[in-house]
Amino acid sequence: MTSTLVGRWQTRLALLAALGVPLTALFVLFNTSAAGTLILVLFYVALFGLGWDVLYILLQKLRWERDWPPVFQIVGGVAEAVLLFVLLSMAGLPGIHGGSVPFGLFCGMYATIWLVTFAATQGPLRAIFPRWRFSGGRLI
Amino acid sequence: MIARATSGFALHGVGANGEMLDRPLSPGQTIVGRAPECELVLSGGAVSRRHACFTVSEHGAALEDLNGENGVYVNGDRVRSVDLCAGDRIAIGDWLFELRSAGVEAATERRPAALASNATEVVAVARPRLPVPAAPRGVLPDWLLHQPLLDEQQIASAGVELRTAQYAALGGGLGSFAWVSLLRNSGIAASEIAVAGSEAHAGDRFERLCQNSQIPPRERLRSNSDARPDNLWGFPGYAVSELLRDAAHLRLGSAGRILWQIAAEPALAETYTPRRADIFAGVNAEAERIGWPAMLLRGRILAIRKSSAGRLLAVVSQSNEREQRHVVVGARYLHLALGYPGVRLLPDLVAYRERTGDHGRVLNAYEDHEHLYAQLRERGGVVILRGRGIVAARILQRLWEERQHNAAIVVVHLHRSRLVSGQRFGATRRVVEAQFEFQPFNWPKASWGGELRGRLEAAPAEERARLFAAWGGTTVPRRADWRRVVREGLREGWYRPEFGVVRSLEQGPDGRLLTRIQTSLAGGGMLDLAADFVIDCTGMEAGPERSTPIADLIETYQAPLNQLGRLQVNDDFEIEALRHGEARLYASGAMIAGGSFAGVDSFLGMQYTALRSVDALLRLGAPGLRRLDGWYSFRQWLKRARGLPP
Ligand SMILES: Cc1cc2nc3c(=O)[nH]c(=O)nc-3n(C[C@H](O)[C@H](O)[C@H](O)COP(=O)(O)OP(=O)(O)OC[C@H]3O[C@@H](n4cnc5c(N)ncnc54)[C@H](O)[C@@H]3O)c2cc1C
Repeated sequence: MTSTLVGRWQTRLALLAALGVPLTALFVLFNTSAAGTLILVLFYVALFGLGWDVLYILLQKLRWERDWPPVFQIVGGVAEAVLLFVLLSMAGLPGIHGGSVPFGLFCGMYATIWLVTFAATQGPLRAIFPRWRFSGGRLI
Repeated sequence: MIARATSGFALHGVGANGEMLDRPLSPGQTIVGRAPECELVLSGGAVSRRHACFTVSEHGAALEDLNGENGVYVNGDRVRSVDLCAGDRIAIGDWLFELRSAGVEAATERRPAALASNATEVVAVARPRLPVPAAPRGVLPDWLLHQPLLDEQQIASAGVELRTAQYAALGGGLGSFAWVSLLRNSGIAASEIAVAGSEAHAGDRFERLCQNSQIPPRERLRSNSDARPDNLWGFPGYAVSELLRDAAHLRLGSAGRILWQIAAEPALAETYTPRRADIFAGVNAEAERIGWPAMLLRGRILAIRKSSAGRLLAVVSQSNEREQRHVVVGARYLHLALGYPGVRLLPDLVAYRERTGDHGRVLNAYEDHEHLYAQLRERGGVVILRGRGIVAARILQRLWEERQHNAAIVVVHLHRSRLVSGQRFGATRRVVEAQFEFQPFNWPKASWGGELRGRLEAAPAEERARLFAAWGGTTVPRRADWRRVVREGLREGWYRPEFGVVRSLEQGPDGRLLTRIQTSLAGGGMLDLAADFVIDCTGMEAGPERSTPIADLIETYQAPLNQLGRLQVNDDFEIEALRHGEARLYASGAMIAGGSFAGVDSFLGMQYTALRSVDALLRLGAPGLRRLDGWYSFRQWLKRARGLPP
């Protein structure tokens, strides 16, 4: 990927809306008691992601090619998950009590959403938006 | 004398006074003119001092007009530079030639008695109507062709067929293919598109250039997995196709390596690049799917004209040795992609060849030079390479292969100056190793679709020149096999760099080539390098004025050039000088380098320019055109995946 900051934000939000929301709904279906928490987790993934994207862009500027290979996406995905889970279990976040999200459920939901959105950026998205790869990840 | 492959072509000519000339064309270039230093000296007032140049390789022959004053005519059409076929009739000054293939030449050589009668026949057939013939029916007469606004009525009265379509792609190579493929996938029927070009397949010319620069079919190119001329979505990429193929044949090691490459390139792994054969096969399959053969009109494009009916017209010649025939293709929306007009040698190499007539030892890498490898393998020798790009790397690899048969091969790599550090941009810098500067592609990746693309498009002209200088230059991809060859050569002493500016190139007393350089290292001074061969790997010169139809556009419509001397286009890749009513002419490829987009001469770049220019057509309300996006795009993608027509 050779995304720009705006492109990263747009792609992230669009994929979380289009794929993250229905996948979260699936998890809610089987964990109705944790519905509010799961929805908030998705919200924080998106919110923190916007900040992570700023960091990625700064790092990307240190690369001659101004690109972001898939392995970097993978490392970033893991780092984002670790930070979020540490925050959730230690201190909690507005709307979520510290330690109230079970590790297994968090991992399952985060990994599912991350894998599906990651896979989409590796090609399928281009079948729907042929200009996406030329516009630094912008969709509009 | 040097052993070399026999030439594939011969010239058979007749002068104004009936004098005759027969000679084989040696591989490489043959300059024709009045000046005594030309390889082929012709008499006659209408012959310029350096008039024209033939270039022959095992894959074909080409002809270029060197000064444009008196003109060069092929089968009656005035041309700037063209590919030739056996049988073509060529007029230079008062001379008329027929190009023959080796077979015909051999036959005449075996039967010298038959030569005279044979030659008289040629005189009788062709003498009368050259160099500027009164046009026969079916051919646009010169006076008509030279008008900037063509009357379609007059075309019809000249008996010339006018084929109209809504869209026309001129060139018929990979750039045309990208544009046509996008149109076909955007709702335009094949019957609404005409393609004019000289080759039967879109990939033919690309294949020939690859062959000449030592890229055999199974060799890997310098290209990205997702840059697929046969798939405008770039999904799945070549890497995935190859990986699945490997996996199906249980070549799991290779499949795993490819997977790691596309995940980690270029940071932690060598960049994946597709094989040449996969490009060609893919393009041919896609050509069938989109109906390319039915859209194609084969011939030489002579000129582009505005028409009285508000169209743009391409005058296409289908003349051959038997008959003259023009067809005019008229359309509203056109696209021009003619590729590289030709190969050009470094000036001191040209001077040497002209002075000595020695063509076998001083070569351009894009010329056929198999004889060099044959001789080296047999006898060994010293080769000087000039240029530090990818072509030099490929040739070095080939020389390394020959060294496995004969260890007496020595390679001197001549550089103007020592590269101490790589190009800088912002906080980053390219890596230099053993005088090669690394970059996966010829531009940084983000100049196709990331931060750098936007930055270039937003920059004013002077700033663009600076960005081109920073991102471009001569680089090679970091390939383990090439690095191994260089390290091995340096260690074993059969490969070494030298640094200096060439002052002269002479034949030494022992008959070897002496390159005299002024060294650019501390201390300076002159240094003579003796060698058996000099290979120019500095690449292909692509000045647009060397192409027949483009030189004509510049002359007839004052189409402006940009700071690099290429055709100026706007940010939608349109040549604005050719706007005519609603008609538009877009362009892509090497001839528009230097504008708002760096990688115009690449598979991916040509898909980008196609998208931009088709988006501009959408804004103009081009009939029948649908925006390829969203659900519609996905449906078209699915059709392609299933092999159904768009
Ligand atoms: C050796 C080599 C390797 C390359 N490898 C890569 C790579 O790996 N990846 C990449 O992205 N790019 C690569 N390129 C660059 C570029 O993508 C190709 O050169 C590509 O073929 C350019 O497409 P084009 O349409 O501009 O030219 P072409 O494909 O050459 O098409 C131009 C066509 O126009 C025809 N034509 C020209 N003048 C006339 C006329 N007057 N009348 C009729 N027909 C005419 C020609 O015969 C030709 O068929 C490579 C280039 C070279 C030389």
